[in-house]
Amino acid sequence: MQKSKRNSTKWMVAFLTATLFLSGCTYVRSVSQTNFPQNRTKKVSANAYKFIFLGFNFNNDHALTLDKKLRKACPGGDVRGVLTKDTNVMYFLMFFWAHDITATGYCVPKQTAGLEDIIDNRDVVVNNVY
Amino acid sequence: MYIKVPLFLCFWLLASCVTVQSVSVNPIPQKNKRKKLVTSYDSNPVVLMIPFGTSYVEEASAKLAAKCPGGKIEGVISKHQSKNYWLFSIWSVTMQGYCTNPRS
Repeated sequence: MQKSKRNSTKWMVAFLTATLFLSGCTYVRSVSQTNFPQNRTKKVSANAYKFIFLGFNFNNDHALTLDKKLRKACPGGDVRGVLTKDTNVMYFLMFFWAHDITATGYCVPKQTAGLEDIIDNRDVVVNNVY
Repeated sequence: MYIKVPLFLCFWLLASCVTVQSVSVNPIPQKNKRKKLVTSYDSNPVVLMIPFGTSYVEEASAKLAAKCPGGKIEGVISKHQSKNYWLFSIWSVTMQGYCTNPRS
């Protein structure tokens, strides 16, 4: 009886320690939104994540992978209306944290994107004439 | 005296400082396209520095898109700010843009 009680206490302590160390608070650092396209049917997203220990971080190159990932998610199309969310995930006592960037946008097929641009340019020409 | 103390407490607890975290501005369309302004807002509380999710960012974006069905939204401005009260703060995102060629 006493042994099982000791065992459950051990598990409880292990669980609480794991929870303390592995749970994190996510803070939004910055947000940016670009112009929305007319065709908003296909949503694509990409994520760049870097774990940082004791603040030792020698580059931010992971942010540059976002562009490649977004392009891969929308082959042969344009990604427009991009929402970028830059967050920091703080783990226990802030000894270590993660830099997490998420970019979400709308994949517009090349033909539709081209048509939207032509319509926009036509408006500019018409308005300049008048 | 009895009124002054709660009044002072109220001012102390409800007064806030607003801090802008980030702002982004996009290309603005020509004047004849700037007729319909659409805005959106979403927020989330942070109590004792403990945040309760970050989905308010996506919510604000989705709300703006929903306000211009079938049209483009140009000249989008997004602003991320925190309103800091005593022991808690409200983090929010405000977006605005011009809805062009909307489906009527």
